[in-house]
Amino acid sequence: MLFNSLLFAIFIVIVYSLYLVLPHRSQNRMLLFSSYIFYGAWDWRFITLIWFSTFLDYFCALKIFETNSNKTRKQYLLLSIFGNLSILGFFKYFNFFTETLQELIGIFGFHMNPIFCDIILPMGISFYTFQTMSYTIDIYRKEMKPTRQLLDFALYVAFFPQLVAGPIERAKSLLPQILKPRIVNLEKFYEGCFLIFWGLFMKVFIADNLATVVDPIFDSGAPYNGAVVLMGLYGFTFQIFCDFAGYSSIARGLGKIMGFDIMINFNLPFFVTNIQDYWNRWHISLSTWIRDYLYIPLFRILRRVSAKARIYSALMISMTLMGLWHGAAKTYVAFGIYYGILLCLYVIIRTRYHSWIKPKSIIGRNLWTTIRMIFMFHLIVIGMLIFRAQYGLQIINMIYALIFNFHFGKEALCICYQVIFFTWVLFLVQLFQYFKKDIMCVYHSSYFVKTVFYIICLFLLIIFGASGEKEFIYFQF
Amino acid sequence: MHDETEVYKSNLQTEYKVALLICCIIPVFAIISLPLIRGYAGYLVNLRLPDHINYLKSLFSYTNILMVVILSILPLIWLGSIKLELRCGKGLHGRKPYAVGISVLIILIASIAFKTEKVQWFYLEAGKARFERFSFLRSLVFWKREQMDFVQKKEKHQLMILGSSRVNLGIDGELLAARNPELQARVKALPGFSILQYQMLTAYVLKQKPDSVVCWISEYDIFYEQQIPANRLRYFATFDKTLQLGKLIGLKRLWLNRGEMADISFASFITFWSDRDMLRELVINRLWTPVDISTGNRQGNEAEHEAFWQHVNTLKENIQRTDFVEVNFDSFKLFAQALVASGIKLYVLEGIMHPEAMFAYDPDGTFRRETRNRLRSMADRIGFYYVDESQLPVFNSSDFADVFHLNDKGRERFTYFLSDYLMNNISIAKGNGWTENWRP
Repeated sequence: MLFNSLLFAIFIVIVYSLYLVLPHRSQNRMLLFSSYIFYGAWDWRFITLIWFSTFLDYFCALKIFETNSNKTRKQYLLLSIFGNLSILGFFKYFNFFTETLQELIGIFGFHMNPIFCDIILPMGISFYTFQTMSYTIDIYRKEMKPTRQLLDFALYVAFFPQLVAGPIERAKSLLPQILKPRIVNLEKFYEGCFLIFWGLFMKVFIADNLATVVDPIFDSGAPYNGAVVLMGLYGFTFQIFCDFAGYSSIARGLGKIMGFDIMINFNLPFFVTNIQDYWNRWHISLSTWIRDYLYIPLFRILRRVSAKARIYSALMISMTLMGLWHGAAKTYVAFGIYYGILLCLYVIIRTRYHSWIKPKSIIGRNLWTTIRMIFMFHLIVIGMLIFRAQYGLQIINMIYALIFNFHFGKEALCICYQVIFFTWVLFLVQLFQYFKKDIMCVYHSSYFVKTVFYIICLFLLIIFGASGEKEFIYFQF
Repeated sequence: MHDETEVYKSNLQTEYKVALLICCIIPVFAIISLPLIRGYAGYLVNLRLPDHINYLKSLFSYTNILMVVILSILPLIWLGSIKLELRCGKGLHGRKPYAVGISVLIILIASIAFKTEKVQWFYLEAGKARFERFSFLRSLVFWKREQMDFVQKKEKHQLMILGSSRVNLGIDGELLAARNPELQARVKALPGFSILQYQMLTAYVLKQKPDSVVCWISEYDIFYEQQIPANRLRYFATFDKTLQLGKLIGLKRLWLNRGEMADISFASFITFWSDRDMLRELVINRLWTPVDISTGNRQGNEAEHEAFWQHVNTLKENIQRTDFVEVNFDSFKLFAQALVASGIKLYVLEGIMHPEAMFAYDPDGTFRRETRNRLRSMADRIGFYYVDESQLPVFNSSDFADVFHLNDKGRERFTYFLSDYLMNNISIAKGNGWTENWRP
């Protein structure tokens, strides 16, 4: 069931009507049941995987909490991690690993018959697996107490607004909201509706339309025209942002109207001046997850290595795994390695050359910040090329075209026009958000501005909104 | 909560400064830019910039001054609304969703304004120069433009020929008019005209007050659709006809076609929605690229041959007893009933296809026979005229340009046939219609 479908509109009207009339405990039960219907509408068989994760982590968390022996605690933690990663590994990475193994063996001159399984990737498996794992790890770290309410915990795992594409909520934040009665008022309702509207606009007007511009470029074969590739990359960067940030905005809005506060997943990621800041603003729920549950533990484990090597290896491993989290393909691994290298370079530059350029005047500082932002944006765009490429050679061909075959002709101009046409509202809103340092600034603005905003968005949605119910890109992860 | 209200108030104060600045800038900006916009509007319609444009004169034209005044008032309204909000508002806490209401209202008003003749003329002319040859959108533009220019000659018998591109390419309107001087014939055709479109067009047809309507229906129309063709129906969707269609298709099909039904329901209220494909094509894809009509859609022999068999295969795959067969018959029945009840003579001709294609998708003629029998019995019950294959001239492969469409030779033969048929049956001068024993 897609957020941008009529079926979901009917679903949410029924669920929300029931939600408003039910008491707290029944609200939770109804939400749990609705979440399973929501997920089951895609493929009911895979609800069993959610149940498996739910029971495993519920049981392990309780055992970890109840026992004092460190060894037993560790065993239960490992059981939870192993159980979750096994499911993820089998459904998402089995074919990838066997293929890679076969290639590796081939290098040494051996031959292995390929074992490929026709496996359907369960929707949102990476999201809910990471979400449940964070719960057990937090209990193990004694950062929170486990809940004994199985059904409430099940709702934490399967809460439908963020079940299939995040944000990956922490139990510390979401579980207490499930356990306590929530306040639903008109103010939250309006704010939630605004978030839903903006999310749908980003998805239906920007992302889905840009897909029609970008897809043919990536589906075509070499030789490419560098200018067309560049315009396509700009388009894809905004497409994926609007697709994913749009989903997150709808998820937050749905949570808000029911009294939940779901975390912000994107916070102006194109207005950054360094790569570290970018990962603090792009897919925040995943980057903080990677930081808390992977980077920091790795940093601790590598204590015997020198300080610099510790940082670099922890960064490289974390970012590579982060890339792999996105999907079982070498391009995703390359995507992770690319950002790992950029982060390592940033660490080097920050420590050695940070005081090289420091303009003193306000204009100079602003100009320098703008130059850095534009430079960073292009680094992100290259990252998007690696992310979007269908195979490794395409990355090389496209980069080659960007450098050696750059002709800004009619085709590139047409794509450029379309990218601008579909993104100008986003650009203005983001600029407004940046200068006001408030991502809800449109909601917090005057009636006049909001009226103009709604008129423009509604017009664009009605006339230019992409038809058909298109899936969100991150569903495949 | 307190923080949010503070943020809101600080936003309003910033906005106030911005609005003040815009108040000062916008008159100058508007005075300069509006004549340029008008110049570009000329390009949109004429495909080239006007030869002589007196910018100085247009700067001080009444329209320009009026537009400048309107644009200058907007930031003043903005200023006023901020002042009012700061003075009377209860902060963020007491805000109501007025903005949404006003926006929806403005869109509804704009939707009505979009229907006005001047706007429509401008937009259709821009579309005429840009849409692809033989495309649905291009045909639709011509349909609408013809409607705008049409002057009914009351002394003549009004004939409306409705249908798809098969009708459009199968009947030569000029030849028909030349052979039947008492007729004022209009060929209203759209590519991919679906049978459900007749029912949706009922109100339109009745409004045109034709004396006779000719349709062309075959098993291809009845046994093809697997879902509601929303992208075709939305252009003429009216609320009552959408409701009628909803009742006709029943709950199960309504659920399965919920997206399409929502689409056409929405189109019956908002003109922008019904015309969205045209506006989209015009603004996004064709703002600066007129179509080169002289070279459009020419294919080599080999490509034509390949396309022919591709179409045949598509027909083989898709012509079947779909879920919509009964709905198609019922919807056409409603259309026919409405026309006959209004005193319009309806002539339904049995549609023809390329013989090889017909043999491929309906080898034993089951679908064709069923369509013929049911339409014939419908004609007997309701009182319209059904002309089946036996009354039509025989068309063979050499009469067809492709799977669906007649070529020039076939077109001429069919037009002669229709002309003779109408002369014999309508009895225009006397106005008493039908001659029972006519045969081609």
